[in-house]
Amino acid sequence: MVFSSLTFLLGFLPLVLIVYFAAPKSLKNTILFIFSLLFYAWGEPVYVGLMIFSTLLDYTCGRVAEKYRGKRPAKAALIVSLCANLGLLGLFKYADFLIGTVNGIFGASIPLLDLPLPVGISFYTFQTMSYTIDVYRGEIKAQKNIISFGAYVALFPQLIAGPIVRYQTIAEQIDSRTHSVDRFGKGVKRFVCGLGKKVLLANNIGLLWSTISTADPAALSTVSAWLGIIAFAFQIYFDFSGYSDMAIGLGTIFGFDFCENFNYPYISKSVTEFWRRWHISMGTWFRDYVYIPLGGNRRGFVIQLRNIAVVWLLTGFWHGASWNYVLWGVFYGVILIVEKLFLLKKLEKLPSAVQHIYALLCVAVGWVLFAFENIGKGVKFLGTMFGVGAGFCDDSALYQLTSYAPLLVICAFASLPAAKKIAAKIGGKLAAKPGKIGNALAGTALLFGVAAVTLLSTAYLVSGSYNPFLYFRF
Amino acid sequence: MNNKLVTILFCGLLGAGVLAEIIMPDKLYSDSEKRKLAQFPQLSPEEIVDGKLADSTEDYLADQFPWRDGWVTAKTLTELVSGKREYGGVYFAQDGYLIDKFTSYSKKQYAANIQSLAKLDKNLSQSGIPMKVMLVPTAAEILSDKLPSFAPNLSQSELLEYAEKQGLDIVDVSDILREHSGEYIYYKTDHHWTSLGAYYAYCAWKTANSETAEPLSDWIHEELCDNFRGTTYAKVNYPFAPYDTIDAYYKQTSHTVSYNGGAYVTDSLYERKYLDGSDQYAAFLNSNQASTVISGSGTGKLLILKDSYANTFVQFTADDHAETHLIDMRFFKGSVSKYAAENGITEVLVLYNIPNFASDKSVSMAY
Repeated sequence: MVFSSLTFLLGFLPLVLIVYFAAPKSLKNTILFIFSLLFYAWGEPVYVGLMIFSTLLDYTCGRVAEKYRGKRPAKAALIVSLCANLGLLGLFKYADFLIGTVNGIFGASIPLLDLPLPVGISFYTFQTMSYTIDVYRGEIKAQKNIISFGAYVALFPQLIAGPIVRYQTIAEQIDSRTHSVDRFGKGVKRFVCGLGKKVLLANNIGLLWSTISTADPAALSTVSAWLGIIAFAFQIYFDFSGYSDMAIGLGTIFGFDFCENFNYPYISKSVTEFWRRWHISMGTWFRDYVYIPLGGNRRGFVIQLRNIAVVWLLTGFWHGASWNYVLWGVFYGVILIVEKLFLLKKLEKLPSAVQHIYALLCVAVGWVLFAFENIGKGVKFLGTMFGVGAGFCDDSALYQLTSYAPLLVICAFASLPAAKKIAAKIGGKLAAKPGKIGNALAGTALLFGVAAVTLLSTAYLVSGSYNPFLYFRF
Repeated sequence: MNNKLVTILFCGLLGAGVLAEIIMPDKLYSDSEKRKLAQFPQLSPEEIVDGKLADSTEDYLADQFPWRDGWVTAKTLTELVSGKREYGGVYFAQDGYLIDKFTSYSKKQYAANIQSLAKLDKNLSQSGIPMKVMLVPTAAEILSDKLPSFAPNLSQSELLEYAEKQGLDIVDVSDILREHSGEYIYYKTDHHWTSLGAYYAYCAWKTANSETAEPLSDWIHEELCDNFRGTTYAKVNYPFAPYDTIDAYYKQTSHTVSYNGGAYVTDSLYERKYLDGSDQYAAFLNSNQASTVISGSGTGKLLILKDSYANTFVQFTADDHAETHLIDMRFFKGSVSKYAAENGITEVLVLYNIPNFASDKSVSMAY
């Protein structure tokens, strides 16, 4: 199930809210666990088994790792957890890719497995792995209650598309958390904000991208290609960060504080900065469980470069089992190394406009590599963007530009911190009016905003057959 | 305080939505979308295991959503406000015209359809029956200057040229329609041409047969309805769309019309019961039937292989022939050339609008 669906908004959500808040404290985790499994099973009933398996396994590994900390069984438990989680990921996500590659290189004809990818597997395997690692390292206590642990693994708000919530960040909240109307309202605001980003911005600007990416590449003009990749950049940002917002908002309602996942990535002045602002929970995961264990930057410059290379190869590969994602990872790995070597220092001396343009240009090229699974097509598209063998502008580009100009402006505005600041300022100004009127005005404006976004999103969900979810299959 | 209000508001919205969804009775059919609506999912255990529940529930909830049409309209209006000039494959053109987009077609399917017409022509010529082909451009082609600026639009005349090159005897109606493009020859809210448009095509048809059409004033004119909103309206659900007028032209008030081999026989070209419903164009020749035979006061027997564009055209040809036979390949099973021979057909006309002809798979079954 996805949040941006009528089934969730008018079926699942009201039901889970009623049951959850009506239940006594002692039953809340059980209810969350059951509803989370239902949420998962809705679209893929068979794969619930995998999730339960993963839960039982890491629960056991965690207990063993704690009991025998520093001894051999603990290490064995860690290895079992790593092998099982990576094994699951390998089997369901990468096996066919590997078979295809082997077949391609050796001319073999090993049959593909054709297993559908279990939703969210990239996210929950990483979460359960990090749990066992943290227990093994002695950073956290193992969870004794299997239901509580299950509620963590299957926790529906973050189940499908992250953020990657590490156990240590919500360990206390699993066993005891507070609920309040204040939290509820805060969560709703965040959820509705994410819903709007996903349904109103991402889906609609995504239409522009799908028009352009499916058009005949030979007839594409440079302006169209740029419009297309800008549309894709907005689509993937609002889709993914909108989903994170909804997850964080729901988490807040149910008493959890999830980590932030995005921090206005498109205002970055360098690629290094971009990756501190984009999909933060994944970046920190790779930092804490790959980069630092490999030695980080403490074992000399050469080792550090190797570590960066390893992390980015894996980051690329994590996004999908296809060579273009690997290339995308390598692309960022190389730029990050170059920035580390000398470019960052040089960039800092340039006017900030130049820094922004540089960073956005790199990101745009990155999205082309990311968007086209067929690398040849991606390279051709890049050619069109930079005027190789393509006309500069044509009628269809002008039609798209004029049709999407207002939405593009809204998207650009919404990806800047200014949007939030202005909203806060208006709220503040209204509230500052004398007496009760100010508060009433600010409150009304807020309520109007929440209602408008909710209702408009509903209108789009009711009438929209176009509701693809980009990060579903990662 | 604000968070409390937000909580109340949000829970209120959810609650109201759930209540409305439960209380409002389910509908079987949507008049405005002209399609059956998804019903409460009833799935076998196997289908549930396959994960079918998710899609069928979502379809059900969306289709049965309380005041669905209102929500769709809200979306259309939002799109227009945000600068869009098309919706659901329909252009918002000048003067209130809602025009179906034509920006792509399957070259393979089109070539196959043309080939099968060539084959049919050959079969018919063995029985000495001449065949003409009238492929009618739609509003997107003839009224292209009404489309939004820069709007992508595929040239339909290229398809005509191709058909001509394959040796078919084409009755080209593009020129005469273009000459009269300032008149009411296409509906504003429907993909069909009007009876007036069909009349101009009839003129071209007479010319192609080395005859001259009588002036339109020779036919009795009757306004069938003035509150018609057709298919392109249904796609956009735009409340400010204009209403179309449906006109009928006939020389005699009664014609014997026999549908599907005598399964239903009536005395009029117009099935007036449709005029009270939402699909008023279906009044012409009882919507789409597999085969239709109309008796007239002329001579010879004309067979029209057709889509619904022919339903208005036939008003003008009906009295040129003793019998007019119509075959809709989407529902007709069997050999057209055999049908022609068995029924003593003296000439054949293939009449389709171009986008429909290019995509209609049933045409390739004609032989």
